[in-house]
Amino acid sequence: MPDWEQFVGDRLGARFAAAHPEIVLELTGHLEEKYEDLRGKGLSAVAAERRALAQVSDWIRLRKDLERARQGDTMKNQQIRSVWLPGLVSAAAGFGLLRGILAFTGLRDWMFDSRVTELLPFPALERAACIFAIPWIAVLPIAGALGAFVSWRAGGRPGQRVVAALVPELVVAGTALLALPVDIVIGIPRGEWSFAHLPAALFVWILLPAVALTLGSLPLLHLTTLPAQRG
Amino acid sequence: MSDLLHMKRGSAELAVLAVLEREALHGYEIAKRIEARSGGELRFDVASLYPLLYRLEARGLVKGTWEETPRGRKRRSYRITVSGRKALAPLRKQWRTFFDALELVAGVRGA
Repeated sequence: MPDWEQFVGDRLGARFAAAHPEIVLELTGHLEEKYEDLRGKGLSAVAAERRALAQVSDWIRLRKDLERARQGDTMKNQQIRSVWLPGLVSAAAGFGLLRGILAFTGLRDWMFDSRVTELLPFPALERAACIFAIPWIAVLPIAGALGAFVSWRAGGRPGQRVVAALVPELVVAGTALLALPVDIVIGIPRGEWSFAHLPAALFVWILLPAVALTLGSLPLLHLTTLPAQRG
Repeated sequence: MSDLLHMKRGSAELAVLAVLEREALHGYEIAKRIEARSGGELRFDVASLYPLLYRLEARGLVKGTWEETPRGRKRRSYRITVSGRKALAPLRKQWRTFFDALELVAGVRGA
């Protein structure tokens, strides 16, 4: 009698077998029982083995079917593990690094230093915000790379790695969307807000950070997708 | 997904849920039970049975639990869930309707 567990593991592939040992065990049990059943009916060992092995004609297809079937129950968990949790890591890294830069470089003082801020053609608050954007954009490739890396480790596909990397930007954009109406309502009557600044703000706070995060994730995109872990 | 594939999958689901309706069974027993009940006409092998069982489990229609046989072998026993029982009745009705229609059209009788 062959070592059925070894046989099933080899046929399904080492990576799949490592990720789904319970499936290997279950299929092994089925083949063993089939074999013993056939032996009990008087078939020779060779014939019983051949009939048991005929249970699967295409192991690669079976592996794909099993993966698809398993994905059904873990789809949400898989998305959480490969997109949203890595995204949180990316966001935490981005905000943490930014905070570190502001705390240790004295950049916070520069932000409101008129010798620096007057170089920009915006009102005072926007100037400060723009200078604040520089370290933010500078740390984002690292944050994006970290998010994409964690996503890859969790079995994230290239698209999921990019989304995970972009989560810090989603946080900023979401906050901006919430704050924008308030800012407009308060700022326009006081002459502190102008729609003329909107394109520049979108460029500095949405487009550039998104590019920086995506750039950070790029080296991780060519890596082969790992099998997703079961939840 | 093609209608034919839907039909094939639907009939396989019906067969598995129907045999689990009375008692919990492990994979090999499910296959044997279906083959015996259908007079050998319906056969499930490893390749067709387990992806189906995992899909049914993912949809909460069956629940698998590991158990150990007296001989020390570990195997997974499947039982139908409350949702599975609820799904079984409309599935039966759909197939009855289908065979009734087929009988009218082509003189093919259902079970």
